Amino acid sequence: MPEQKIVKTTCKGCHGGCGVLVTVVDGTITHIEGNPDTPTKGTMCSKGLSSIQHINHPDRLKYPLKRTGKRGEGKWQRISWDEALDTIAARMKESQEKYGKSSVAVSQGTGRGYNEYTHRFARSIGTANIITPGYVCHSPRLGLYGLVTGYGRLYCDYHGWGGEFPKTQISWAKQLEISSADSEMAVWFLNSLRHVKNLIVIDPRETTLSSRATLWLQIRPGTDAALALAMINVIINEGLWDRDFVANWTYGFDRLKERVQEYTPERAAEITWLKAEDIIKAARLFAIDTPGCIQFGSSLERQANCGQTLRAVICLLGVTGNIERPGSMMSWIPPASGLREEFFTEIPITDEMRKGIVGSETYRMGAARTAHSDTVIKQLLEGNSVVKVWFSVGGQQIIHLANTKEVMRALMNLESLFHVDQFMGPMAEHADIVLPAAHFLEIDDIYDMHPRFMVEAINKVVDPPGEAWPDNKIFNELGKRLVPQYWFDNVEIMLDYQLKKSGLTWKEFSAKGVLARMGKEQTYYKYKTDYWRKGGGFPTPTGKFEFFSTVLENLGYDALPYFQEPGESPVSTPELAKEYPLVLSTGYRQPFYFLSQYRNIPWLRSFQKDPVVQIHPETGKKYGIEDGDWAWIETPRGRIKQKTRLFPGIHPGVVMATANCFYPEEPGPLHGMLKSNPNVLTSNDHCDPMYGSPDLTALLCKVYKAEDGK
Amino acid sequence: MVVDLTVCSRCYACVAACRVEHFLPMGMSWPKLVALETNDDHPIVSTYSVRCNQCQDAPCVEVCPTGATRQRPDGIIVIDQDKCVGCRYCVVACPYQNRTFLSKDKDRGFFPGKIHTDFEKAGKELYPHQVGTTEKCNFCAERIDAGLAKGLKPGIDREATPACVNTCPARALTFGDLDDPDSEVSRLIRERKGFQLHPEYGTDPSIYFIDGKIGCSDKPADDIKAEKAGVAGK
Amino acid sequence: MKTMQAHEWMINYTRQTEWIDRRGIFLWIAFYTGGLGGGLYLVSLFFNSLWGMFLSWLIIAVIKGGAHFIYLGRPLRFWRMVTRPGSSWLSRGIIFVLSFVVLAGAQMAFTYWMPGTAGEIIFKVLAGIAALAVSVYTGFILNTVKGVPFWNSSLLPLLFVSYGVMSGFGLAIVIALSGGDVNLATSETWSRWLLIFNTLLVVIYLLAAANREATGKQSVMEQMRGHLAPVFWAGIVALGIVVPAVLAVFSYIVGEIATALLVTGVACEIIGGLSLRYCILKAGAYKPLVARTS
Ligand SMILES: Nc1nc2c(c(=O)[nH]1)N[C@H]1C(S)=C(S)[C@@H](COP(=O)(O)OP(=O)(O)OC[C@H]3O[C@@H](n4cnc5c(=O)[nH]c(N)nc54)[C@H](O)[C@@H]3O)O[C@H]1N2
Ligand SMILES: Nc1nc2c(c(=O)[nH]1)N[C@H]1C(S)=C(S)[C@@H](COP(=O)(O)OP(=O)(O)OC[C@H]3O[C@@H](n4cnc5c(=O)[nH]c(N)nc54)[C@H](O)[C@@H]3O)O[C@H]1N2
Ligand code: SF4
Ligand code: SF4
Ligand code: SF4
Ligand code: SF4
Ligand code: SF4
Ligand SMILES: [Mo]
Repeated sequence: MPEQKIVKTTCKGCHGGCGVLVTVVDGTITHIEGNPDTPTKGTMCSKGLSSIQHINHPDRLKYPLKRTGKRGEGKWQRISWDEALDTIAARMKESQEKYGKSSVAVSQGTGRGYNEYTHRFARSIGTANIITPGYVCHSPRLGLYGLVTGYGRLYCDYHGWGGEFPKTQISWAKQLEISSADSEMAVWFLNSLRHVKNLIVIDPRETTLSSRATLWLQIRPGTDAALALAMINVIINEGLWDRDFVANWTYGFDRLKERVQEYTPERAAEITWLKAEDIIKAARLFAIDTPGCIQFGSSLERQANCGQTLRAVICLLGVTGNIERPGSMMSWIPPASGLREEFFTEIPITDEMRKGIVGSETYRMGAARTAHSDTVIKQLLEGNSVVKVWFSVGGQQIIHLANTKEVMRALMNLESLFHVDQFMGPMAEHADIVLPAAHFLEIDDIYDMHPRFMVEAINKVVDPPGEAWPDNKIFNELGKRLVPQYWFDNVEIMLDYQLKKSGLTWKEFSAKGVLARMGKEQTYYKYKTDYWRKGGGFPTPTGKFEFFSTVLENLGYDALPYFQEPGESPVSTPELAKEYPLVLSTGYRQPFYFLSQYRNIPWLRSFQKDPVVQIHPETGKKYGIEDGDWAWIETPRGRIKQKTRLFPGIHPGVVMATANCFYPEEPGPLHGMLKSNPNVLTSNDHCDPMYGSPDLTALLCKVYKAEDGK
Repeated sequence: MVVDLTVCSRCYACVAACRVEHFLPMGMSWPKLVALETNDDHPIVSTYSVRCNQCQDAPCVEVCPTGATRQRPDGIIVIDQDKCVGCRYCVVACPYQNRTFLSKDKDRGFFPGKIHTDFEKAGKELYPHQVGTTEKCNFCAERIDAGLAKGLKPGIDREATPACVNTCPARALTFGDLDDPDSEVSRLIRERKGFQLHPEYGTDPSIYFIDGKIGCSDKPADDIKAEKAGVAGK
Repeated sequence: MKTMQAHEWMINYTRQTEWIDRRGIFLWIAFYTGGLGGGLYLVSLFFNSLWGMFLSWLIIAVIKGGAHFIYLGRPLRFWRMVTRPGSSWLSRGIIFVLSFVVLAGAQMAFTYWMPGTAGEIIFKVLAGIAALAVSVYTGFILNTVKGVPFWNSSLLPLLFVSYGVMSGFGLAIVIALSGGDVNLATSETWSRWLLIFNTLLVVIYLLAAANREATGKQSVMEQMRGHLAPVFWAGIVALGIVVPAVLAVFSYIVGEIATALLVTGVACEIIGGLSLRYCILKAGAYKPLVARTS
């Protein structure tokens, strides 16, 4: 009789969060599906389901490897974990003694459930040079919400726990329908659409949802601030603002009112390529049909004017009173366990650490707790780098940072680079030591992602291949070698520690699966209670929702939002636009890939073999490109090719390229990384003054047919 | 089954779920996504998640020379892999192109030339596929039967409902009994003007599509300019 | 390949591939040889040519039967195919083929050993019916496929039989030339008339198909101007119609022409017939599942 069991766990095939049931027969996984008894109701996407192919992939890294040839030469030798960790610890120690604590940087990719460990590890060894893609991903919005709500998390109330669903929803530079867990889960968002009255989509590209929305604003990339300010203009000048909220709970309304006068719908229409009447309509719908919410997309954060853009959109929420109301923007109260963030924030950033953060003087909002990646790269190129040793987990900066060619050269200048991954990708190929990481079906861990009203258990289903280790174990073992006072005897004790507030042990929590605060357990209108501040109010210096931000004023930034042209655009660089007439946007997540991941998973690759660039049929005709052709996309930094989809739903003046792509099947060390990755095209010279975010979604380019066909 | 074009986000979860459920070889896919991006005065992006329509007047049953393809009493069209000779008449005759002949080259492993994964090995025991025969979506008949045997209701209880329906994050797929006027599928078809693909073939498909505008998606929206695709006529 | 990915399947014109591409060529051969063999048998009955009958028996039993058998995914289950004559034209077809093989075999035995007996007559009639059925059924197989407008024509069975008979007369000419029991002049006359008749049929068929929905038109265009144009113009038109027609006119005027030329004409006719089946199978395209408007 074969032994069959069903293991409950949590998927983190993307940012993560879906409850999963895995059937195991005699140690072999025979089935995977969603767990209906979890908040994601048994749904799963193609990435999570394809985990089955992922874990058994023949190319998985199985043993620690040491580079034997030159960096990037691809010569490796298997070593023991002890040798690997001892070497890494020794090099870190050496560097910190020689150059100071901040000379060690710790990097990660996007949030994959290991944030807690990367941050804790860095802080525990005395450095805050943490390199993350956060500044183009999610951090700017959190920081700027933070100016309003203190703890920095506002999410759309798709749940209706307060008795009401959003009546008007704006999906702003976002594809939540496929980018689950970045903000909330797709399944909740899509369900809330059954209750919505108006859906407004702001995107240069048509999507399934925008085809069927109340209003679709086909905006010029990088001009969102102008749109938001014009909407505020309409709302204020037409007297549609939320009188009660503005009068009692906000600060600086008059100054905002004055500021937005220059952003008339007509002027904004000119800037954004929209129609003034549509801007007015959007403003009215959002102000009149309340409650409403705005789903922010990270395309807003991948702009060199992202700080003020987000400020403007947040002010739009303020004037309409869409904060903390049922069906509006909510900051959810975390479950009994508290936030997992506390696991790293309990080690404070000292003044010494703060001073050592690369880029902190320039980017005072972004580089306050983490380093500014592009400055790290520039310093490495210029030979005056603070960072000498780089410990990288997950993320592939070599692919995801702007201006790939510079990044490649910069990485060669490091004294040491270590990388933890599941596969030998371009970043691993450039490392001195590569450590094999376990997949989520092979680990025990605690999961929490953006909305933060629940934590879930990731329960080990099968053993990792070879000697691969879970990330949490790698951090713990390395941490023990360097600063044992901050680390634990073993992973289970570490997990118990993280759950201490909940009163549960890891074993108990693991059996329970989910710890959530949902429904009536959430509190709306927290600013009317003592939650943030005795007697009500927001946890800001003025105690109010700050249209005029006193924090920004103190940091020397404009305290009121404004619009700034992207670093490269037909308006800001008209000369350049003569040679590069089209606006290039990159991003545009694919449902079956996660950033650069999964092109080596056969099921997922079968859905779209090559990266696709969307070009309008008229534009294609003009430049002699047909549907299905390989097209060159060129900017002053270089050129790449992607496969053309002639798509009538994209603005004729805009080209949309798939981001973060390489070809795992092509030979190392680059694995075809320079062929199609849009970061070969992007620039790291022009960054947002607050967050340092480079323009990834608004540049200039030209396109032409790639004659050789492939 | 009813497929809602209003919310399907082209996520491919249904396709992946079927591959997991039936241990499909690499060259095989029972459901498929048909992507439509029209260019009328206003572009419409639609995704049709298609699979065997379980036609009530099924040409594939009619043409099958061996009786391998047959209709079960509950209406599901199934193929008996042990009887199929692989003549592919049904493949050619299905006007919806929903059948696939499992040739040797389609019976690829996940990682050709490399190891067979544990999952594939398990599949060979649990859900063997016969090269040289024809396959298609069977509405997860195994799942439905196992569920019914436990007294569960297809479309309502997960264990008696197709895998693709269960996994769809958009809840774009609804399963149920078309003969029951009170079922959710019957209601959706009635209230949201469900349409079949190519009704002029006279095959009476059991899969209906619905479309609408977000914001009033529970009512039929006449002003949506969505393609009335695959409907009789030109 | 210009196509981008699997999901675009069926918003444009999609060809049927299973019955022509790759191993599908066996089916093409089986379809063609059914018409040819059936036609030749009927012609042989007309001339009472034992050679012709034997040749047609070989074509059907060995070539057609063999091609069918090789094509199957699971050939050993072959016998199951005869179990659904109630609904499947393929079942019927296989039964026709099997009956033909048996009946024509018996008939030939009678003709050889017991000519003139009632048995011979009966088996001639029965085998003749079977031969007609063998040459006609493939037309019905295609005709009943709903999704392919190019095939939805009742002319198709007629076209297949009449092409079969024409090729039958062609082969009869060859038999006559090799000293067989066939009258050359009669064969030539029939061949000519059938050539005219078939040419007309093809024209009518294509015209009708071109008016059968956008997809039917696409199928026709594909042959006139698309990938199939070489096969269509060189195979069906030039070799299948023009060359035999020129030869026919020539021999009509001159009275008698060289054997080599006659044989060439017959070979061309056969290539024409093969090309016709090829084009019909290859151009068979489905109506888009979901239509893209311009
Ligand atoms: N399946 C899947 N899910 C993912 C990811 C993945 O790779 N795959 N990545 C994860 C990560 S790390 C992140 S950060 C999120 C990102 O998720 P999203 O924020 O949804 O990111 P994108 O899909 O790149 O961009 C969203 C939309 O912004 C539009 N857009 C581009 N430029 C502009 C602009 O200037 N203005 C406006 N208004 N719109 C613009 C694009 O056309 C696109 O439709 O998704 C996460 N989830
Ligand atoms: N031009 C352009 N550039 C962009 C973007 C864009 O839209 N346009 N998007 C930006 C954004 S928002 C982001 S978040 C970044 C994303 O960039 P990253 O987060 O760096 O994403 P990837 O490059 O896919 O790197 C992920 C790596 O982590 C590995 N990995 C996956 N899971 C695990 C795990 O559990 N443990 C370990 N150890 N490794 C794991 C994968 O194998 C892969 O090698 O890219 C940014 N760059
Ligand atoms: S959405 Fe994310 S968490 Fe859910 S199944 Fe997909 S990859 Fe896994
Ligand atoms: S799972 Fe649902 S939303 Fe995703 S492609 Fe299939 S039908 Fe569409
Ligand atoms: S869709 Fe095709 S395979 Fe399915 S029942 Fe109808 S004709 Fe048969
Ligand atoms: S391929 Fe199999 S199922 Fe299809 S018609 Fe032939 S015998 Fe029947
Ligand atoms: S109903 Fe079952 S067999 Fe059919 S497509 Fe869905 S998962 Fe596959
Ligand atoms: Mo991100």
